[in-house]
Amino acid sequence: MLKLENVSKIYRTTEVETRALDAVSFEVAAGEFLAVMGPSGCGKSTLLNILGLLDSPTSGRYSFFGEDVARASERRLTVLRRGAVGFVFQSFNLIDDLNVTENVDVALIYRGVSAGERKRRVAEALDRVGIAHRSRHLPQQLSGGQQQRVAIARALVSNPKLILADEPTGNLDTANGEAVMDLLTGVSQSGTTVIMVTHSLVHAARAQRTVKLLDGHVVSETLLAA
Amino acid sequence: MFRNYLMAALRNLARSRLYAAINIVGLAVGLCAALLITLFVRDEYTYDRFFPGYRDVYLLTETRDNIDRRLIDERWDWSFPGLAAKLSVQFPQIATVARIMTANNPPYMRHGQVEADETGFLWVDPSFFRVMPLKSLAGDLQTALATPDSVVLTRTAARKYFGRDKPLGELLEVNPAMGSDAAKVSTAFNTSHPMRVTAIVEDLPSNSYLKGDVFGSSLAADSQFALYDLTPDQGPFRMSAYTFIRLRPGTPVQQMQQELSSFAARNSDTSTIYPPGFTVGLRLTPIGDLHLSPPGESPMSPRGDRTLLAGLVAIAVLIITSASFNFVTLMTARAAQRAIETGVRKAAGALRSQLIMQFLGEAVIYVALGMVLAVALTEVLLPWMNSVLKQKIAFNYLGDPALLGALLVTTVGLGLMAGAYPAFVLSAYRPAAVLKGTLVQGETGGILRRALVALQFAIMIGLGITAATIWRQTLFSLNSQLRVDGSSILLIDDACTPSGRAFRDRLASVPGVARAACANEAALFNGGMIVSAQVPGGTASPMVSGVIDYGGLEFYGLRPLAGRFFDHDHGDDGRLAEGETAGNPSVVVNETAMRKLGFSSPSQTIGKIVTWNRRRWSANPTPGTIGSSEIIGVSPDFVLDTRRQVLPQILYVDPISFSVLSVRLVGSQIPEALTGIDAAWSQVMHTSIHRRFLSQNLQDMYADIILQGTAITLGAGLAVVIAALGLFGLSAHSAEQRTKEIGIRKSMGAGTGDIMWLLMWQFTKPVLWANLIAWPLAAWLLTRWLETFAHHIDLPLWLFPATGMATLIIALLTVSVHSILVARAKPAAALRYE
Repeated sequence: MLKLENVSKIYRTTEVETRALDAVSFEVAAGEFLAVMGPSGCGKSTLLNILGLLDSPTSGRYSFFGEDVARASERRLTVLRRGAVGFVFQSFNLIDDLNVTENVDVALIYRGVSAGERKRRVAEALDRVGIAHRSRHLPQQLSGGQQQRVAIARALVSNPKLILADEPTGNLDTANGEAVMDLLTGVSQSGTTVIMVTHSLVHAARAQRTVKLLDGHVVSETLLAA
Repeated sequence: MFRNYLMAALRNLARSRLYAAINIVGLAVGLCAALLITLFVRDEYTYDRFFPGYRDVYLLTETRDNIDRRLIDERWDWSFPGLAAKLSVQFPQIATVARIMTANNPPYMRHGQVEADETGFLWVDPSFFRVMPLKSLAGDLQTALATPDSVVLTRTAARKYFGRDKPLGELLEVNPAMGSDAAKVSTAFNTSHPMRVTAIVEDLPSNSYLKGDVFGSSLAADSQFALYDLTPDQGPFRMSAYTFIRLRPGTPVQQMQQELSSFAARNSDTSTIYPPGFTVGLRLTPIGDLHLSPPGESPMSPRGDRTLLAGLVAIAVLIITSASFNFVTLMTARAAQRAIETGVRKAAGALRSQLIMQFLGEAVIYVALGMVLAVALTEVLLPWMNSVLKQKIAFNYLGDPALLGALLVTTVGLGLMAGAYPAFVLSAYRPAAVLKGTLVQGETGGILRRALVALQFAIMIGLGITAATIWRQTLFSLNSQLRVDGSSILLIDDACTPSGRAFRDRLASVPGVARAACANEAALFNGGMIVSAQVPGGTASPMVSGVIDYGGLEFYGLRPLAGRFFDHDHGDDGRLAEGETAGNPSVVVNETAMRKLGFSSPSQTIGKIVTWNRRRWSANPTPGTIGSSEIIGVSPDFVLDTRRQVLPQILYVDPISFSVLSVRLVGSQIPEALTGIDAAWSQVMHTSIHRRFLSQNLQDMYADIILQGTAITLGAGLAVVIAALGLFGLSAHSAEQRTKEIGIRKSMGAGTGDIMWLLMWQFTKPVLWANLIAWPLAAWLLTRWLETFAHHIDLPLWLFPATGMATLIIALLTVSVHSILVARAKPAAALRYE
């Protein structure tokens, strides 16, 4: 359903040209749970930004659920993203000024969901990640693990076809990391495509397939589970 | 969605309280100043527009224009009382005419225990309320003044004399108290008569040209009109009326004006009265525009000043601009704090347009909070402003849809303007960059921010220089221009009439009185009747002729440039001392007149003969007495009103034309002297004394400039507060931003002083730039302003660096608060912060 063909991303400054991705090609099937691994600076986050339509490739083709989006306008990308993608970040990226419920609500307000429906779905999502009892708290009143669960609830609440998680356990202790991984595995099992960047071999083992990146190239693909 | 935006906005506001407070307080202060100014300006622009049908009502003013303009334009708010009747016959366009005469002395009024010299007394024609309809509380205004003994009171006057609102049919005792000269015409003018209250009207609003509380019928046998009718040659009585005309609706005014001008030309023979080049005209000034029209002589209330209003509006705009700059600088400086929000919202599918809307909405919320605070402040400050300006300006925004609408439009409009750039910046973050967590730290719009700070300080410096220059010029006008101490010179009206001789004799023995001299008021202010003068072989030129007593010029500190001043021992000086004679007395001319007559040096002028038409004031202008005079002296040019060009002036002694007595008091004995003078007056004259200090007279004359100076000083003060608030916020932000840098620098060995310098230099630069913007602009504007004075100070150049330095000190003090805190912190704390 997602298909990259020879995708490259080059960052240019006046002096240096950085090739963050170099002719990357692979496919992700619908409902697949994919892990992306690689050392720091290998292009993982760039790849994730392109997959999540937050950035466009310099060259190559990217088919997003059948639509070629490599050259799509900012507006078109926004509309596609709005309908299909949920994000989970290493640093959570919750809005400090909004409480838990309102933070999750942000994922719905740009999709034209009615207020009543939003309320129901936000409550459901918070319940699903086990944080419903903290719905009135502000982010800084929560632990890291709790914050990440809110972030996952925010990613889930819009029922996206694709969830992108950028080192979702990177800032968490083992127990909280495991809990987050349980959540993502559950999401994947319910049919949502999940792509996760991680440094942890243990967490990568939870995915169905692992893609390894090095200096902007795909160096290996491992099928872990059938 | 809006709830979500609102929550984000309000919580952001609550979290960054310091910055929110700076923004809101700055906006509130600026908006409050602007509101007060707007209310005042609106009040000035709506003078007399409360009269129903005010568009058809005009004041008939008389103009005596000089074609060559080098002398003077005489404009009078007064016209001849006899004109009204003539005009209503001649002009079918006129629906109604009504005249008002003010009393020279306030009539004495009494009811029961309440008695007063009624300064609000006006003699008006019975048609008055048809021309100027006022709201009647009781009685029929159509007929209220139709009987000779009728009087109409305002609510205030009714309460004053009767203690209730509707004393209809009650009697009031009125003594016109017109003085002993009028009593010689008829004793009626100096005795009490009963007058019946026939109607009560609502008080006149403060924004009216008319000032009055008691309206007596012109038909009364003891009215000012009656005195005018009984003394057709006018003699010592200077009487004119304010003539108000109501035209029939739809009358083409241009055409009416033209017909009126030709009527004036037909009916006045100017050639024999005025020098060649003069035209006399009648002009209609709509009462709705009267207050801001060019000033005329003898106004019932002083005119407003369009320049002052324009200056005030400029201040309002500058202050609000400065306050909204705070919003822009602080919002963009703190954009980094909101970047994650932008990133998340964009990742969740928000369009940029939706985020722009969100941030614009936030700006409007800030401005709205500022506006609420400003409205509250205005309600607190307005009574104070009203008492200073002696106005009754209302701030009834709930009952005033136009005002309420303007407040709302301003709130939204200002919010959108102030929010535009921050919204543009905040919504521009690319989510990929922001969400990676490695955000560019707050460098967005750094140049713009510095530019705005520079502009704010430029406004502050400009206003500061302007205020200081205005005050220096005002002080120059009030003090330095005088060769005598105006605060120890008392001007007493009507003390120089023949009947005042006894008073003047008494004065000599009052302790604390140094000396006294008579003159007519015009002479003191370099004015007087316009005459035509020429020396044999020269050309006739227009001049003003002033009358002054022996010793009068010396009284005001003048010394002859050549020749001598008036002296009892020279017979020709006192030709008019015993009354009117044929021929003219000897004269003193000022330097300008000397040049006009064709002489180049004072000594050359002495002993020359000048032929001129000496004229006395009368309601019906006469050609005057043509005769020759010897020029006995040349006086230096001297004006008390520094705005005026010096006019060529010819001075002579004519006791019958004296109007005002100047009395010099010994500074240490002023209270005793005043008591003694008042006692002497009441014993001899039996009326109430009208006296004022010369300095007060001058202050009244410069009231508009003093107001302007006060407003600009306050404006400059507010600009300081607002700019300092903004800078305080920016420096707090900058210290926060650079905490890590400071930590590193300190761990590398930088001392507190180095860090202070680092932080403060950052804010010194915009202030230095501000001087570059403000100086040329202020210099250009002030040079032009000073040129409106015939006599002015030089632009004080030292003021520019001084103001710049003061501004820099204020800026550095503001910034130092945070700089010291940050610079003295332990480096470990700074590094841990990250």
